[in-house]
Amino acid sequence: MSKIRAKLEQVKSLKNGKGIQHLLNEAYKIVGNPMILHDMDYKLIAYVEGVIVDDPLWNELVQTGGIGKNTEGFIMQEGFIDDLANSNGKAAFLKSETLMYDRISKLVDNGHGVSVGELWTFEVNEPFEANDTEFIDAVGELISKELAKDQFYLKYGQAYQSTIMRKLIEGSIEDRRFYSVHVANLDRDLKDNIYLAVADTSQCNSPAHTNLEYFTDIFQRTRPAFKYMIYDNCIIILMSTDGTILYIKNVLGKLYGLFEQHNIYVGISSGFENLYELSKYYAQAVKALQSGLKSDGSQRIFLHNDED
Amino acid sequence: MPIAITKEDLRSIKTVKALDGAMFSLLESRSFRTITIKDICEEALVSRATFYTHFTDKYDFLKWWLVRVCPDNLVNKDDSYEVMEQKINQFINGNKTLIKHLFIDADSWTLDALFDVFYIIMRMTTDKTTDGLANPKYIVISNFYIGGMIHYIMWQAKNNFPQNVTAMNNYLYEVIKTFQEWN
Repeated sequence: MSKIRAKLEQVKSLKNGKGIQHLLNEAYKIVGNPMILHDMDYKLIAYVEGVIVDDPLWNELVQTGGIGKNTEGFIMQEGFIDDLANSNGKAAFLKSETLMYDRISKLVDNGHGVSVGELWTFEVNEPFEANDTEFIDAVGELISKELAKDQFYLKYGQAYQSTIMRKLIEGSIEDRRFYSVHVANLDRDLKDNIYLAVADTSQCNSPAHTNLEYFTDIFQRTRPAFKYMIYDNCIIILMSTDGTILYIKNVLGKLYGLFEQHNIYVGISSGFENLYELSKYYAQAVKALQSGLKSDGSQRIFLHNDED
Repeated sequence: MPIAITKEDLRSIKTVKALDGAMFSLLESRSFRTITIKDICEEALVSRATFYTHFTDKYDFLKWWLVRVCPDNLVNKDDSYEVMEQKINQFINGNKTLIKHLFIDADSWTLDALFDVFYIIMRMTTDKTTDGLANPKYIVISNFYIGGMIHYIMWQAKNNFPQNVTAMNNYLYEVIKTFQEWN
């Protein structure tokens, strides 16, 4: 056990600041098995060079910088996507009956809580042991710290999250099996009851009201636990609570103050659990907002009413 | 109409095994009515998103699970009605606690799910001998029979299975003979 602890401490003590490539190379020397990192669109970010890995995913990433539909389908058939979706952000063993190597995979976030990549390590040199996932978790955290310094990955994370939310709102996901890890990423920090809010800033009383990015940024900083995107000239807020929405001011927290301050009106859906039904709850929130704006000038938050 | 469920679906084997085991474990301890998707996911160590990737709600999951746990030969097209019933009843006999938790206090959506599954099983065994759903008599008789069978099992469960499997088979066989005469 002390040997494992020592190895883990070595990994954790790797220094940031010299880039991801350097991190992977140094981690490889400690962990013993090659690693590769790609983004959520399967575009190569970095890999340990000089190692031969007889694996279709590794070879396609290294040779082409990405993967094609065949390999995407293969990953899905192997159950890797489900395994990752169920891992709750931790490193997961991925075993295969058909591939030469078992592997460990971990989703890597951008330091702001949004997964932007996937780190794989292949059982090429050293046989895996039960606690090898701890090493990969540690390497993943170090990579996150590197990515946190890079504005590109902050923007990429926002764009990626918005894309998934938009696909869910529009109901345009054709094969849920391929998207399960992306939806699980979105769902990971959400509590039991999810609510979708549509915030209309068109009546905002400041010159910044046309800049939805400005308000999205403010909301993000004020209530980082929620998820935001701009859609159809409104700001979509995905929020959650263990309880109900009845005490809406408690749920919204300081966001409520911002809405009042900037004359923003908000429609909120009824509670749900299934993110694949987001289109239905988006429609509810929009309807609540539209009905509310017509009916009452004194309220600011309009909850979906089943009788509407 | 029942949703087509086949055992050859492409879902992740690991997810499938995990959910299968979770459902057995949960139904051994409490009624299906009280089981939530959160319970199933926590028991199976499957994320909520993964659950919803494969199923629309817990009743959709129940239908899938019932077809999966029924012994493979339960849906054998070559079986006669009598053999099919024997297999169902043997399954019930071997899983009484689970059956109680499924049937007692079942809500309307659970009953719908049970009906759909029984309908699929019945259709597979009768399509070969009748013109199946094209026969309006079949539609009436099968609905009547399946509804009756479900409520009979419910009665058995609520009364702690006072009638043994052999007796159940005999009584139901008399009903089946009437059905066959109608054909």
